[in-house]
Amino acid sequence: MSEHSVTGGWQQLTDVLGDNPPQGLEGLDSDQLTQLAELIMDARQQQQAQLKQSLERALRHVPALARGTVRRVLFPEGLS
Amino acid sequence: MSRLAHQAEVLKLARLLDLSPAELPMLSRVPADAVRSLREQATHAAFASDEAFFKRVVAASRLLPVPVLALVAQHALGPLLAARVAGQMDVKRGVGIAQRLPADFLAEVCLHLDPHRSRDLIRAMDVDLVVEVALHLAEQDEHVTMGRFVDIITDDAIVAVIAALEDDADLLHTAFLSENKARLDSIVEQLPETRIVSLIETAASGEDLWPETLGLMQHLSAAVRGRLADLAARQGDDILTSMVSSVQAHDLWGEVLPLLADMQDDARARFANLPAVQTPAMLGDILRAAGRDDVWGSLLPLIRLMDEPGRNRCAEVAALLDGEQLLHVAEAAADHQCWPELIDLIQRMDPDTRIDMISLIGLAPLRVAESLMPAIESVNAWHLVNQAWTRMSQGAQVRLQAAADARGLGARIVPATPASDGPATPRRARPASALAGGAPAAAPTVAVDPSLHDALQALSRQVQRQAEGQATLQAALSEAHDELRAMRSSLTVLSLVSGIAMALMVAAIAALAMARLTAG
Repeated sequence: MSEHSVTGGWQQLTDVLGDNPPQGLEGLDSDQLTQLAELIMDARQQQQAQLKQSLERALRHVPALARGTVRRVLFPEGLS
Repeated sequence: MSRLAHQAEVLKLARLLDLSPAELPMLSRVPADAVRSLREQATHAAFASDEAFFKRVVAASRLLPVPVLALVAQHALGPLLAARVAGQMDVKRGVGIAQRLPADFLAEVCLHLDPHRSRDLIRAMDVDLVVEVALHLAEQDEHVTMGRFVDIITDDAIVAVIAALEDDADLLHTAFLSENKARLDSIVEQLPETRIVSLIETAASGEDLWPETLGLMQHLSAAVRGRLADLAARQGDDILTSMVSSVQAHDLWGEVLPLLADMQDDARARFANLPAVQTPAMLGDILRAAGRDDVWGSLLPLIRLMDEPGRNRCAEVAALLDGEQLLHVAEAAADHQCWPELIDLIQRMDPDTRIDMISLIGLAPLRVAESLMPAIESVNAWHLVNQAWTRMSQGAQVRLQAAADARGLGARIVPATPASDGPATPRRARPASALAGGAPAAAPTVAVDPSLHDALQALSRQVQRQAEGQATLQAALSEAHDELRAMRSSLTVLSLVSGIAMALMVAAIAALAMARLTAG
């Protein structure tokens, strides 16, 4: 088990990637790993915001009467 | 992977995260492979989080005909959503939609596409459309995106795109950032000579694309790389000089020296003797990089191809290397069978440095010394060992003797008297075991380079001065001690006299007191 397996930074990066980070990152300290995890998370949130914006724009092309139905079909759990 | 590959990977990750490479300093020591894996994992995680949603979008889209979907994609979804949808689309409908979309819109879609998720769709696309899209991407300097598709598009599409790209800088940038370096070999192999020469001229242009070109060369097979390097060496001095300047500016000698090994001897000789290479500063940088990046094995054969003044200059610069660096050189000479080149270099050094070099090799691992012996024999350079013998440490003597004995060359070691400089005559061989317990060497030498030698001499003089000072101090102390002893004797006599005097006084007072009492 790597020494990073118990540090916060390693765990944070694992959570962001949804998998164990590559072995070559084991030389980084916990702060550096946290910083990387935050940068990846920021980029993903930025992209999610762009996607949401694009989806809202796309839905404007749907006639107002049908928009609610389309929205429920595409987003059964609500637009996140 | 090399530093150039690392640079390319950090650039691609920075692009994914919408940052500049300078904002990822924590990755400076992370291997390029790990940076690449991190990017792939981050990309996968980002796309996987929305997968279910885009599957529903694609399922809903099946209700609409392809021409309508193309309109929806362009006017309602936009490039970002279209890219995500394309990753889930079946190939036939996807190609039908793509064919109906303008190339500039598709180029925008490519920026947001994960090529691996759309691999089949991309490979099924019409070659002409791929070329059009590639030209749009090149126009926007989207080389990172282009590099991601090198791994995906078909051979026909690659050939067509290369033929269509007029600016060789686009080609060099894309190759540098390419995801599949193994594929570059067959691509470059198919390029006509005129195009390769054009690429070399572009590398040497004001934009300085040598790092990209050298990064590409690192991933080619030895044969293809050799062809490219030979063509480069046939260009004018100005082109080669621009490469030398760029390599120095980007500190890439460690990357370049191994590439030169695949060139023909005449091309390498031309390169090695370039005036731009033959400056002391440049040679110093080359030698330092060779030590730092452990590429002496690539440099030593190049030195052999230098002309006489060039080799002399190299020897002068090599003489300034420190002991650790010189040990690396010796190990590289042993590992790459480059002793003749190194011996030639040593013979060009001044006598003291020659002796230091040989003494130092005596301190290297035994395999190094053992491989040196046949080389010394083959070039009849035993005088180097013999002249150094009396000035090397006993350990070095034992090692070199053992190495020579192991090769049946022990009798060639004939320590020269300090004044003798001529070739030595053979003497009776003596086993290393006998030397181990033998007479100590005259003056163990650990000097490595002139500056260290001078420092040791200065230290020796200082120690001598201190020893002399200590002797003087000891004599003075001894003198003081004698004086003290004499004073102590005098004090004893004085205290005795004063004691007697005191006793007499007490007696006199007592007698007076008695007399007064008697009178009273």
